[in-house]
Amino acid sequence: MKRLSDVITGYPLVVVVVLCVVSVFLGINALGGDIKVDTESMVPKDDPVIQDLTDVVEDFGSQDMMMVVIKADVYNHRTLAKVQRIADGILDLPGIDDVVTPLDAVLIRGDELGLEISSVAHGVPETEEEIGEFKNALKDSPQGSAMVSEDGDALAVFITLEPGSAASFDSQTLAGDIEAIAFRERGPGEEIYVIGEAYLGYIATNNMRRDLSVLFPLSLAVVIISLYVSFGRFFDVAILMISIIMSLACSLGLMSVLGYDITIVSMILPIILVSMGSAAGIHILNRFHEERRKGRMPEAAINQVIHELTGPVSMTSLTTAVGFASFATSFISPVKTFGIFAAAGIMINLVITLTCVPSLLIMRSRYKIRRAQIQRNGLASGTARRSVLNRFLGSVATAVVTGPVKVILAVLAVTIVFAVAVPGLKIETNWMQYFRQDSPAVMGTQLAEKLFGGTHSVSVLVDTGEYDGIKEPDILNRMARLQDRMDNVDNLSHPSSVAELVRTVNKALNADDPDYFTIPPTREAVAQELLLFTMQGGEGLDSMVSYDFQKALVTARAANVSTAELGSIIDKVEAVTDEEFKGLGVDTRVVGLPKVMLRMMEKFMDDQIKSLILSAVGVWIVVSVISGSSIIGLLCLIPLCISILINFGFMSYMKIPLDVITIMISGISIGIGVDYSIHLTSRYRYELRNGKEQEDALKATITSTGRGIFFNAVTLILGFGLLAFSTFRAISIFGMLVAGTMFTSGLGALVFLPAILRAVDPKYIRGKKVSSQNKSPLGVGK
Amino acid sequence: MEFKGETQRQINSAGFRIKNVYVSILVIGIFISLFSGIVYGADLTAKEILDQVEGTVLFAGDGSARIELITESKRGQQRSNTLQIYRKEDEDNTEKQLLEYLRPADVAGTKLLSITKSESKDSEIWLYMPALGKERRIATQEMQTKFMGTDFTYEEISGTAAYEEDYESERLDDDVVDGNKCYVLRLAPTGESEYTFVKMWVWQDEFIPVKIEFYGRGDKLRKILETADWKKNESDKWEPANVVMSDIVSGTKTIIKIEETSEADIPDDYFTVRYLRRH
Repeated sequence: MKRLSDVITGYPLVVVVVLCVVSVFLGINALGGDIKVDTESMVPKDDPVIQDLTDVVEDFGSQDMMMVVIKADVYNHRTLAKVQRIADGILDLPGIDDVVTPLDAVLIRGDELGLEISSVAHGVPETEEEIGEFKNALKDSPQGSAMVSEDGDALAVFITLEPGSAASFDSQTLAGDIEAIAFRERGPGEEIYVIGEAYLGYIATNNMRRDLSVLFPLSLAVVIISLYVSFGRFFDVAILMISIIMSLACSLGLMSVLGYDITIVSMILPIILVSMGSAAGIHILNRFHEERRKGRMPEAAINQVIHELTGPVSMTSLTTAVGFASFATSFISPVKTFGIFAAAGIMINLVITLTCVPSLLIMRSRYKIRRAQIQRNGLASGTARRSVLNRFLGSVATAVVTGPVKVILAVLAVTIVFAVAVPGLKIETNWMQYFRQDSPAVMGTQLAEKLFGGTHSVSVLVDTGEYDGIKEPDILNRMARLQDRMDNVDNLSHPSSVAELVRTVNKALNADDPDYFTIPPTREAVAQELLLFTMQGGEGLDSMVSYDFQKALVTARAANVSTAELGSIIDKVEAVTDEEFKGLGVDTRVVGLPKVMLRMMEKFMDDQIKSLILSAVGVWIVVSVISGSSIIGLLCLIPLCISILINFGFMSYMKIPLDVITIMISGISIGIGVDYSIHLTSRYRYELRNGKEQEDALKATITSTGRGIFFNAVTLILGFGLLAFSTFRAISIFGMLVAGTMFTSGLGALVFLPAILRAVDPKYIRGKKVSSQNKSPLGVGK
Repeated sequence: MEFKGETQRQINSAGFRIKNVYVSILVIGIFISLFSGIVYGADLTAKEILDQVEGTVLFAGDGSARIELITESKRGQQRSNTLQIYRKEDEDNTEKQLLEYLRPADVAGTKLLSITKSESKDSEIWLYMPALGKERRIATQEMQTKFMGTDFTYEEISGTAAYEEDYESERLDDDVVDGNKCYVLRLAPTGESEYTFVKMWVWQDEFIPVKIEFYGRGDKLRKILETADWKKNESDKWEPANVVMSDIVSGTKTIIKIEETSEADIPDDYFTVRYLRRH
């Protein structure tokens, strides 16, 4: 510590310049980062569920469905010409595998004379008569009629992305291009929507960019204002802002240099760092001014501050970092990345704060030492403000000291009210809930669901393990039954499979006699009917059956329901599949994006529990080691546990689900919230060691350190509270919840923790008797 | 692609004019070149080159061929069918064609008969599937739909287009394809077509088109037709052993391997509905 303070007091300018150069160098890199959003990228590639999906994409092409829904009179030349233009335009985009419109849906029909396999329309129908023919043909095509609403007032164009582009950042660029092509055709009285995971990602990315550009300056403003209110000095605020911006530049630059994308989760990193980056600096400034008021020279004051505060400030940063680092074990990749870089950001902030803030203080004090008068004026008003706070803190101290049991019981009662609701907490991994209900992305999806049954696909993969195995009539019959039974599952619709195709061709070959809507009895007959289908230019077989006819899919559209409901859909499908294929030696499994979402949900609880335990244990170890007392470590955790219980209970009461974003609240709360406890207990200890009795020590602690905790909490509450204005529902809820936890844990540290401390014998807290003033409050230092 | 000095795999022992058969099924108008006198000259115009190419195309003729038709998915997986093709043209120019599947076993015996009257260009297509035991008439296809699930469209297969009439031609800079000097022509269809233009590489020595690129809307390359293993058959006519059509847009490929050809006359009763049922 001595060396550090020597360097700072000796060469403050050098320190500042070096920090600036590093920040600028790393900061330049931060500007080029990309933003990435998609469900698949949130789950590690080697997870079995993702592996299944990747395998299916390999055999059958992308399982990602995109749609353009056009709400206009379908049986109208103008609309159909529009549809054709949109489809042609989209097909020309790179990364598009296929585009199917109601015009080119497959039509299979037959009569006594012959058989026809073709598309529903040949070109865009123009005359009344052609449109009539199109309407009739559409009725005969199950694929086609599934793409047009019953009233004929809306139709869907289905888009398949190439496997490579479906799960990448490119898919969002592509979704943007699709939107441009589709919206160009929007006429008066018509509605056109783009639907699909990639489009949601595109909208999300745009929203994020907008959010960042508004919320980030706003969060800076909030921090500046709250710092100015608490310090009353412009220069102090400027010093803190410089160190915050440097930390931010370094952290984001590091992330970019190491090649990590900005995700829906890490977009909040800058805002979090801005809100939290001031904490260490606030304590250093506070202490510096305290020393200066005692009449010390700036150098001496800095030496004293560095000596005294390096321990606690390092500890609070370390615990916050531990809270974030606990996400490193998360199953969800963006949460993992976010955790690691938030932890790194906090530590970078610590180093910069410890070096930059004192250096700037020294430089400034030397340069303008004579402006003491002005400072004194500033102080006067600061004192006036503080006296209001002082009265509040004073009464808190009195209540805690005189009736600790009452305080403890009251807090426990409140906690229990919330804790009972925790088991009812819901888990959600559906993308849709990230958007506000009036967003076009949500409205389009709802329309598509109402008219066309859903935007996700759930498939059953049937793997016979042998070449041409799917052509076996027994297998096809089972697939046909599976398909029929999937149609009866709630929230599933429009199932399709190669079995359906074979039945349709068989019927058409038998003069469209409904009795022949069956699988023919021999493998040869199946093979020949399929040959006929391809021979006649029938397309779409490749998305139903693998090229070698070893594997096939039975696919249905799933409504965009909650993850829990998706779970019940998948359970039902799995049960039906098992009944149809049990004991045949045929490998079956359910695949699709809903399965990935479900997988995430299953992993969420694990993650949550792991993150809670890890951060709690990590924080406990850090506090115990640095303070040399495992009891202090435990005591510091108590207010946190209470605020986390209250948070989860509150979420449960308000029906706010645990999701990719809200899952991080508990870790963040432990990491940040413990700071209050650390400052409180270390001050309490300091007072005890300096010979105060328990009551006086507590009172002194609450009225002095309480102020710091108060301002720290207010800054964080405002900083996180800002996220409430995000256009992302999940992030705005997240912001409010973290702000809420900051409030409860601040209150816990100010009220509940002192009440507990009152009940604990001070000898467990005090630690080794302090003989020298040179000992730092937490027993660290030399 | 080797055009000259190809001695291995002289599969055309029957001395059959493969062009007439496979071309009638696959890219007739484009590919077949029975050239008579070649005009040598350094400064041929596009039209003169086309005249040479077109003069070599012969539509008449009977014969049969066995081909392996391989379709390849964009992921490189393949499906293979082996077909025997019979072709005959009547005095009244009625085109008769019979396709019979030989492999794989589960479709062996499936036959497709098409009879196209020259005046009406209307085709009558009959299908016989042995597993179902009945022949059925099936609808003819749109010119721009895919032929038999391959990467060829009916337009390309039927090859009814006469290049000189239906295309505006332009000569581009010469090029070398697999060591052979080629004229390069740009042909823009004047009538209705899926393509905005095609680029044709014509082997200078023999006036045979060896490669064609098809460009669609926005002058985007959509398909490439390539030939390989050219050799002379017993009638001293050039024919390729391999023809590959690559669909650049969808990433799929159709590979045709000509296994055996014959010029022997085909009996008339092959091209009857009654014959379809016979084994």
